[in-house]
Amino acid sequence: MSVGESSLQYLDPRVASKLGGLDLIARLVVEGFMTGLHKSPYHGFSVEFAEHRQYMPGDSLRHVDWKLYGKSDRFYVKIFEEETNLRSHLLLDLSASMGYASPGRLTKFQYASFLAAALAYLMLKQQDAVGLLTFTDRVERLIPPRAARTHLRLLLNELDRATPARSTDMGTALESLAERVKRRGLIMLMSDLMDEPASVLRALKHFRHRQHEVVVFHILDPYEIAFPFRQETGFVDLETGQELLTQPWEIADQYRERFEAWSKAYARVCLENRIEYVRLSTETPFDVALLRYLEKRKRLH
Amino acid sequence: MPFSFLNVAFLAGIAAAAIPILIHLFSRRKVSRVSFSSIRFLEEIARRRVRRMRLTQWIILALRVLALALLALALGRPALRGDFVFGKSRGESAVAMILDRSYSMRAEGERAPLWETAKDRCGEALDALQPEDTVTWIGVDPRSTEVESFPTRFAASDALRGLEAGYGTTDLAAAVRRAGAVLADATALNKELFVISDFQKTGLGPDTESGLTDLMADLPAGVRVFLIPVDEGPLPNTALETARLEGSAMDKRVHAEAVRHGSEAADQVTVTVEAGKEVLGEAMLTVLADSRESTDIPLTRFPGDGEELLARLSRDRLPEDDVRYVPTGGSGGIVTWIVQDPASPSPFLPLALSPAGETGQFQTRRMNPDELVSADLSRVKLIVLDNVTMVAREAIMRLRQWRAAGGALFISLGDRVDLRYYNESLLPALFPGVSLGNLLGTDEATGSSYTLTPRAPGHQAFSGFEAQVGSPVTGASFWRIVEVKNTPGVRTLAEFGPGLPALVQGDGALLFASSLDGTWNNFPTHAAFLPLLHQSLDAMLSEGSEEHVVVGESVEGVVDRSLVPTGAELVCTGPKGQVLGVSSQAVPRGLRLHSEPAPVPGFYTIQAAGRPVIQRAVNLDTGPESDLTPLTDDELRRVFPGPRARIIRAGSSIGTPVREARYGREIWRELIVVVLLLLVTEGWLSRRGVS
Repeated sequence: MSVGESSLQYLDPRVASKLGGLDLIARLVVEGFMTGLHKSPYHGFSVEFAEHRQYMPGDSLRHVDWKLYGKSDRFYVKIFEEETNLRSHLLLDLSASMGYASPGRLTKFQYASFLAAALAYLMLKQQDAVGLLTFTDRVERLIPPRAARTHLRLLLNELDRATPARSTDMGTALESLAERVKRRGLIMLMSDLMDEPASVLRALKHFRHRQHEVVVFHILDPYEIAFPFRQETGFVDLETGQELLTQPWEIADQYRERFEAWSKAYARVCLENRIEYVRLSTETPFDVALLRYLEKRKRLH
Repeated sequence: MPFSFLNVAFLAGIAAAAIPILIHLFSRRKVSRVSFSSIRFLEEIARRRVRRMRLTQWIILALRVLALALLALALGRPALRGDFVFGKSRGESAVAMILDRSYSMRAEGERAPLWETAKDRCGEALDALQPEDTVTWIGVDPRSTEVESFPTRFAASDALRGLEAGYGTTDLAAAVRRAGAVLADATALNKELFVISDFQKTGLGPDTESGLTDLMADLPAGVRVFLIPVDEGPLPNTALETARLEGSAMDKRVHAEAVRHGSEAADQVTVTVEAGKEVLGEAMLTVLADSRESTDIPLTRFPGDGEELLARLSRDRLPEDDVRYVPTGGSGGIVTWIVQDPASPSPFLPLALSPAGETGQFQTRRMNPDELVSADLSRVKLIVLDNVTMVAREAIMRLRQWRAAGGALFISLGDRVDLRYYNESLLPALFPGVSLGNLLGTDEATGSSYTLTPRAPGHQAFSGFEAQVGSPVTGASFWRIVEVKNTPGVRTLAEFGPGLPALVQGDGALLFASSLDGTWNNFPTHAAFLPLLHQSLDAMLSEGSEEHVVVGESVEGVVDRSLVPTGAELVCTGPKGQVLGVSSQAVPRGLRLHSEPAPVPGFYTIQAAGRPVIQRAVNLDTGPESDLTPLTDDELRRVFPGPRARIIRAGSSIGTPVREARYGREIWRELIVVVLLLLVTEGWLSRRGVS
């Protein structure tokens, strides 16, 4: 196995989950992701001009100041001051439903944490400012976005500390956040969206109204999608504790129909509101989400 | 309508109905619990679905429970009952069985003798009973009051094995009455009457000749009746009804009369007269459908005194009634004295009774009233007092004793009769129950006259006449008659008008209320005179005759005391060596010997100290019994109306209707069908649930 191939394996959530510590996970996932890209077309974009220096072999001709060459007949390249203008918020759902995992898989929360860590790492690597918001039926924790490398530690600590526990009221929590995030930026929501679609979408529209770019990572467990239960089962709601005894094979078809309709409704409304909707299962490799970030970043610039 | 169960033990199986419930409860604990992100979708979908599913589950559970419970119930053999008080024991059943043993049951059926079929069916009926049921057999023979009780059906079955058909006749009505009395005395809850018979139309007894009487009325309320016919439809049959020795010593013959029952004629039937293995005479007869025909069979020799003579028809369906045992009597005919006043002896009666001298049935002798004082009456069987004025007192005393010993008397009146003397002396001594009244009519034939009309048209005296009450049987004119008053014991056979008896019959005595010498009427010159006279006398003589004995009657007769030494053993031996007990009673003429009833036809001999003293021919009581036409189902229904009587024809099980009637209708088959339907439904619902 080559070094590149060994890096790629960390994009698999199951492999990543075996690593200890979010920082390691974030780093390996992103490095694996970057390896897969071969060449980063995004490096050095978010910088302000600082000074000129004499061209040296190996410098990109894109940064040659042709006007100065015309005046001085010498090649100078522009030196930019590193500065970001992209402020990203990672919104992580801590509702109890995120704690669900089908046998042998990550919980939705774990998957979301890993994804958030990887995104934070990648964003900071790209000189973007990244903040973190965790919420249940209220805003649990808000870490404002910063671009400093040291900020990663803070974010990862917070992700490490968070556990899904309470019930969801995404609408209220997101509305509250939308009011607090004044500056235009990138909002990346990681949730199973197990809430009233209307209130969730109302809040997301609120972000759009404030000119934010919004990406919704809809994180689901494969069992939630396929509903493969074959025994008479008492289903206990992780949020409410309610129990429902049923014969799953009796209702599986209808469940799948309704679930897909619900999921598609989110996708449709998101599309209508120019919100990026990405449905992820906890088995989906992380690069799918990371690539979406990079695409969105490219669109923003 | 209450239930009862024939296999109560199987009801314990109802506990098996708890198995699905236990499985259900057990499997409930096995339900796995899974924490799920949100049951919001499940709730939305499952709320109605789960409710319906739970309902389905309960239905499936109920179906399983019900199926098992019904299966256990079916194994318990439930029955619906009408009048059974639930919870009573099944042993409380009293069963009366009328098993027809009359000789008509000896008829050969198409498949087997009717008697064998009857025994088989009787065995089936007994098998259908419970072991503890009491069984009482009732006979159908009117001469017997056969009632035999058995404590269990097994005892009855054992007795049935050795049972044979008898030679008696059928009186079903009387048998049903006896069964009704037996069942009325029974304290059992279930009372049942089985009638196993060929159900001859003629077997309903003398009281029902005129129509089909409701016999259910003779049974206590609540008795269930099972009618088990063993007939094979109307079987044509010819019976030899009469065979008697006639004629004088010079010209002996057997007069035979055959009756054909059925819609087909019996063509060229042979009648033979046999003495042992020797055939003494033979004749051919053709008997039309439902009619009778007679013939005289000349004999090749005169049978010896006491020789056993029988007449036999060619064999048919019922061989028993094809044979008649002919009483020889040892004499040439019925010794008859015709007593007339010597001053004006009439020729009519002597001629009528013995038209060819000594060759007739009656061996006649004309004599004066005075001769009665001293004449030997021992061989005389019939004395005719023809217009006799008076009889000496001593003669009356002798005649009285002679009458008590069985002598028959025929009195015809006339212008010489002293009515007062008759009323005071003669009639009270010789014909009690009859008195004479006024002389009616005129002395001249030219005046108004009376006609002779039957009062008892069915009587043997009118055999061959188109006799109807009120319709004259002869064109003869009766211008002088005597008013006759008779007590109920004396039967009026014919009359001259309402309240004017013409011919009355008492015990061994006949009286004609006009003359038979041509002075008061012209009857002796009319065609009806001879048959009416002969048939009236035949009827009277046959009623009192000791020589014409039928099966079930006693062999009896009066013998001289000298023939029976004091202390001598008296026995009566039958045709197959049967030994019957004999009792004796002193009468003026000697000793009247009286045997037990004769069980089979044939010749019977009463012996005193080993010496034969009386011989009698015992024959079947032919007549109605020989008619093998059975009642139809409709007629049976009229005789046994109502839902409590059930006809079980050949080929149908006896056990099932008996059990259904006793315990109701068994419904285990229906329950099994319901169980299967429940299981199919359960399977369908379950499969639907799994899919």
